[in-house]
Amino acid sequence: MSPDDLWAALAGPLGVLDARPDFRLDPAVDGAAGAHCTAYAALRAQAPHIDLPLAALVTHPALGALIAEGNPDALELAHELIALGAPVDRQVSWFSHRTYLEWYPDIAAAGMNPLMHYLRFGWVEGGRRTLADLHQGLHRGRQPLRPDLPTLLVCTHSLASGADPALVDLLRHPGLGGHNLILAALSGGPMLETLLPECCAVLITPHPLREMPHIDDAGFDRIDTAILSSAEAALFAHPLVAQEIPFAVCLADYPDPPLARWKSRCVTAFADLLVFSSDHLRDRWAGRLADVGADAGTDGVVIPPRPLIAGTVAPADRQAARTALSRAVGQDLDGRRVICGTGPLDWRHGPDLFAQAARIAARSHPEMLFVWVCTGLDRHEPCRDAAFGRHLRDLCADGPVILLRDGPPADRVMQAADAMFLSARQAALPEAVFDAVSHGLPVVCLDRATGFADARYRRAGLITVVAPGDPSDALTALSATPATVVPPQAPAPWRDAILSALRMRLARQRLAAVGESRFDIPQLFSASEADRPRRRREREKLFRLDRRVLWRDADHARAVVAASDNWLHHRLRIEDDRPLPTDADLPPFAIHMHAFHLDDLAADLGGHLAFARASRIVITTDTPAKAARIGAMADGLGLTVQVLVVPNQGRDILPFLRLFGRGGAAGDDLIWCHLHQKKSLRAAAHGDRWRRFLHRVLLGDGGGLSSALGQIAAPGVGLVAPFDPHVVSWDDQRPLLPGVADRFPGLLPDHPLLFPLGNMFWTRADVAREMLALFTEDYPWPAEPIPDDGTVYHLIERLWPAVAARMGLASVFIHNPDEARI
Amino acid sequence: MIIIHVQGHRQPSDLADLLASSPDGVILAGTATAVGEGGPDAVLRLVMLQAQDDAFVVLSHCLHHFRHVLATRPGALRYHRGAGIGPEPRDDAPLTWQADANGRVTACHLSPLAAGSPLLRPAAMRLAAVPMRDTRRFAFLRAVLQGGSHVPG
Repeated sequence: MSPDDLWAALAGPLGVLDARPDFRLDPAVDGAAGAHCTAYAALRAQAPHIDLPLAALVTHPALGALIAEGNPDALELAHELIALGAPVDRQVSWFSHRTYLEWYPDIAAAGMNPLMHYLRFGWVEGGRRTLADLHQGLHRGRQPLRPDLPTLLVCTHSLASGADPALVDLLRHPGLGGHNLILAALSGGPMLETLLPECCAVLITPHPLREMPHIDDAGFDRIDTAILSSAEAALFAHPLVAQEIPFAVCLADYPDPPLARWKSRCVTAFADLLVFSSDHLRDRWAGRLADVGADAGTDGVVIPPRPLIAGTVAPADRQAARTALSRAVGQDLDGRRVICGTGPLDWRHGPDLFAQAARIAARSHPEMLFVWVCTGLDRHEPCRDAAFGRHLRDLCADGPVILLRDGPPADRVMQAADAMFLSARQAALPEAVFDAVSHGLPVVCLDRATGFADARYRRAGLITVVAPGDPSDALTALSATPATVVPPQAPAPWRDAILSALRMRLARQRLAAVGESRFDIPQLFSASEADRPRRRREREKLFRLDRRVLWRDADHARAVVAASDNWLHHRLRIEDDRPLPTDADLPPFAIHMHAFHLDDLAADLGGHLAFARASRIVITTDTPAKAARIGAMADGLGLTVQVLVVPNQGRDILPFLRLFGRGGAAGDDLIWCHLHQKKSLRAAAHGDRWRRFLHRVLLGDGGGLSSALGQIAAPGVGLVAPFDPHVVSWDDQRPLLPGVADRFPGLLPDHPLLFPLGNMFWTRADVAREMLALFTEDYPWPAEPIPDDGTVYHLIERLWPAVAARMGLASVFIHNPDEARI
Repeated sequence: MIIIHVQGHRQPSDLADLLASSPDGVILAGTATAVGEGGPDAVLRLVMLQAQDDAFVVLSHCLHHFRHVLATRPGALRYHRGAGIGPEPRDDAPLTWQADANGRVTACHLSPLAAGSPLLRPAAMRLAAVPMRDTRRFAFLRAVLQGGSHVPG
């Protein structure tokens, strides 16, 4: 087929031939007579390299043939056809104008032609994907897609070997049938080839939300349910929520770093079912679940990925393994009891505890030989933690323990061993224990340090749990004869058990919510108008699961607060903002502002009538130079301001609390507003909007006063703060709660529900003094720099209502729907 | 299973009677205050954040959002606007309904066979998204469930 015939066949249906019978002449493009007047010719004159990405985009067979045979007009024809846009662009190539603009809103915002951008810049820069990249990431599996079966999507973060043990467990029993299996991964790896025979399709995409809707595969059009193999695959929650596909998440590791906080929050908030591999792990996730209002009993289930199956080692194999180990360690093993351990040389895996036990055993159990098989890519290097490495070297001096870095592999050592000591301080369900038990080894582990300490795993008879902290207990257990081994019952394959639990969870659903809720604040999706339906779906799911992430509206918050039976919640109240008249009769009040950043300070001081009405304004800052600038600002605004230079410690809140301490400047003022500049290097625009929200709700504007002032002046009120649409919990402050819990008249609630989010509020001097007394002035306050979460200062932010309630005072949260929070 | 489309902001006072007459369960659909909280397991709640007057839309929401629950409870499905008497179930009709003088559908009945039809939920969702009179939506749905092409005007 000639280029002209192709042009007529493909462009003709669009009705462009009348105006443009020859694709080489585009009336919209200026050019010299006789020359090719097309966008392609113009672009190629500036950027000759465009032919390479252009040729790679073409999918149309006839067009591809013309390019392959070197037809001089072929690439120009390809460009002009693609440039026609939908539907021709997708008919002839991997390029879609609509998709490119959807994936890259910056190109749309800049008003650039997407095809021109990709060919001239995007391809050269790299990182700009087209449907060709998506196609390359889609791999057809060997299993046919059966329309009579439901389709299960299993999502993982990586197909690299050993990167995702849960994925291996999920796919351990191939060919069981019952559903079509498709797989999606954020990144590829060697496991792909081993998985293709079990699946209908495998997709590798780093951008599931934006790319999954464009996959040309029947399996991805009809997903019924999904399983995320770990919280690391949290990005897949986005398209699943967008498409209303129910999903379970396997949580076989701890909710601690390196797992990012947003991932644990995403999966606990949006998963229909959370699957834990042990009770131990479920306990460790309990705080994260409580943070979003998930219930470990209703929303979570413990399903072991597989049973512990005890095996044996043939005598000849054992003898050979002991001979090999004897050579490797340079010791005669006759009459020795070999205790093995394995793992990376780090604090978490506890090789130091293993070595401590070995040192003690050298005196009390000289027949024992301790062998640690080092694993991990850096097993030849010194420990990353140099201090830990030195400590370990000291413990291993004089040879009580043998570190095998290059000796026989772990399974060979297990064949030669008599017992395993799992000395890990934190190891959810290490594969080495399954291996050890399969070699018939009794395993001794530390209580509360591993899922194998669960009764459900101990039932097999080969696990002994000892208290942490006393290696002699471990030695006693390691020298004991193992109990009778109990053969496990054959459980359902993990994948089937999870799907069954998910079905049961979905069938227990008792609540649904439909429609637009009052607070439209993005969680998984963008704030764009195009994403509004997705945002509605995400909130509908949150409300259906009864998760605490966003309030539906103020009445929802009022209802939840009213339904609580906690003493603290009884003192919480939400009131609508009703601005006070400017001549309102108010008691004297003082305002404290901590100003570390001064950028917007003048605008803040001049933008609120409340500053002019305040009986006193105190501004704290950290340097004399800043203090001088603040003084000049205040003079310019005609405000009387007391500026105090304080140490840069305790963010905004410690300078405020210290006003009420020994020699503090609070004086006799009874009512105080605490403000700060709410600046963050990481969230400038967002932070500015939030600060404006907080300041306006607390103070009012330039012409009026907030009802917050009237509320704090009312008898029985100890705290007034803005009502925030977000529901925020103790979060990383939860571990700090036991340190203060006994100072309150009742149990602190599992969820605070309301507190002055952002740490700006009105309060009474007595309440501030009580807060300071809770910790005492001599508390070892952390110095800067401090993390963004998990400090005593963040705990104080959450404790204000509790301190007020302890004094019998209410906390009032002002709801002003007219002020934008985000 | 019976869907009670709660009118106004008050929970139905005869919840116990409803549960007795519909042991498979009751879905209360309405505003948050109208459907309330808690209660026995057999009571399901569909909170409509914006008031919804169309019976068909309420039915489609229930079919969609409680699809996993309904899948475990085969049987007839009824809809009532507030309290009232629904149409007499007819074995030969997959879907029957009744409307008031203003043309508002006040009750409907889906036979067990129709309620278990795989066509029901997708058809109801598509029809609910089309702007048309409720009675016409029900007529279309009946035609779908009967497998026929004739839709009364």
